[in-house]
Amino acid sequence: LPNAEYDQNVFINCPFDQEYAPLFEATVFAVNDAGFRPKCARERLDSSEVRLHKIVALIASSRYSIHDLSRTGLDSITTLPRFNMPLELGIDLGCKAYHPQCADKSLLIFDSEQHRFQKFVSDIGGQDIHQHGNDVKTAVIRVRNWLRTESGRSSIPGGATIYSRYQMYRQDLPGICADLRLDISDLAFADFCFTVAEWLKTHG
Amino acid sequence: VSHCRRMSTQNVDRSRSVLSAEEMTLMAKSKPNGNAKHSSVKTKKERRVILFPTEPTTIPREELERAVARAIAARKK
Repeated sequence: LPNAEYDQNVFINCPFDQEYAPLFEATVFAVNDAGFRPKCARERLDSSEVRLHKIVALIASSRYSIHDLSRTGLDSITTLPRFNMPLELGIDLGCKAYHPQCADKSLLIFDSEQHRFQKFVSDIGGQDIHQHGNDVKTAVIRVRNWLRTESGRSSIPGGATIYSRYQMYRQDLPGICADLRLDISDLAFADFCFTVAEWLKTHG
Repeated sequence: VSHCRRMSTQNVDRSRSVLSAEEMTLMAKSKPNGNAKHSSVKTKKERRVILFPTEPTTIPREELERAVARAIAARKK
């Protein structure tokens, strides 16, 4: 069942590899700067939890979700497709369709190029899919515009403002990590989110 | 309602945080039971709150505050 934070939570479904990290971290920052709380499967590290149960719980507790299908391609080692992102998108669409209390869910679906998704998941052809072109600034602006429109909140800063703040935050992050004796290349999701929130709080 | 809201705001330039008078009218009209004349949606300034994670972290809050303040001060030097 949706919890008290349901309207504030944004579930982020995306790859967690190093190559994708710039897009992921910028998305987390944009969500936080817009006044929402980013959620993702990496925030809970309890190995006793079944991974899919954890993901289902996160999806049910988030009114907003970002699903990035841009890395749905063949794995270079196994040569098999990576299906985790489409699977989690399917769970979210099912939650919205079948759970009356989640009928107001809003999803932002990303892909790298226009119409690419139609070649591997044509059933969502009726959805409005957005492209970020693997560009951080474009992703930030798209996330901001979607949250502004779907939440109706007038307090959300403009996309260019958020991106400009993100660039300043990136300049400060090495110093913050050094001070806290954290490895910037291996930051836990919760630690990253705390540095973002504290930095944003300081900047009003 | 959400469908109507999406339909009625689709032409709004979403890259700007300040809306024009015409866009404000459009947004106000899209609210349930609202219209441009009577809606108070835009007269009350909303306040954005930065939300911290609900999950635990190993970073003591005071250390985090000091580290962020020091990094910002170093950049501004």
